Amino acid sequence: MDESAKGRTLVEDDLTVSPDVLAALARAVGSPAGTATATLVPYFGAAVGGESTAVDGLGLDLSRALLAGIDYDWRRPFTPGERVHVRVTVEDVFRKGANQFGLLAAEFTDAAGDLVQRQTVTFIERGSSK
Amino acid sequence: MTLDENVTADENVTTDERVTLDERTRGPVTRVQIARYAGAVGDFNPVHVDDEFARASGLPSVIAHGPLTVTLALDAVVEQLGPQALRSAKARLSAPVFPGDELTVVPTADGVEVRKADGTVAATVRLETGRPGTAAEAAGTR
Repeated sequence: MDESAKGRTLVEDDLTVSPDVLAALARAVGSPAGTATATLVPYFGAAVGGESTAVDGLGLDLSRALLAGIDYDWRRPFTPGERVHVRVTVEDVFRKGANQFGLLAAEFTDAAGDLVQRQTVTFIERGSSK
Repeated sequence: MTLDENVTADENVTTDERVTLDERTRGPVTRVQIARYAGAVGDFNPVHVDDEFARASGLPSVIAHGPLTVTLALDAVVEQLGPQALRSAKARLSAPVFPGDELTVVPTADGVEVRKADGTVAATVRLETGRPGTAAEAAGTR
């Protein structure tokens, strides 16, 4: 994991909360509440810019990397079709024992600039040698 | 879990009602479900979609995305409280979820945990609930 990545912005972009994405997520959840649940978690912040966002941004070795946790701070659910601004940053990279930890934060704000939700994703890279 | 808070599953009903979370099951998780989740959130990490890669990483098969496991836990809560009730969640993943795993979302003192059929805890989720502007917190017992 690249400890110099701390503080780096990996993605900053505007996107539309696609009803199709929400429907796809609801289908993946597969329960009667799935449609409502999808409005809380339609994005995995670490993958907003594509699956390589976290891998390249943190310099993750996928063969040793684990997702250890994910935190959500919600102000409200997403509204289908709304435009939001997203910024994904490397909040921290640190070593603890033989492992390295990387924290990515993703903030989603609406057209008025108000926070919709914030995610923090924690990765562990086991037995990092660097 | 009982939540002492100012919210109910019905947005039109307010204040000082005790909301109780019940145990729910989700799954069994399937490969199709994992693939659907990968497509929905754009996370095609091969450990979730490529058995050969997963085995080379020391796993018996592909695993569900951690956020999918968390999403299923949250879904069990949303089913009971509605999406507006959730303020925050702090999820810690402790065991991989494989295709075929049936998950039980069990209320705890401060949220829920996701258990596999053998009792292994796959995820623990601390929850804070309440309407915007309130500071209610999950603080009940089973």
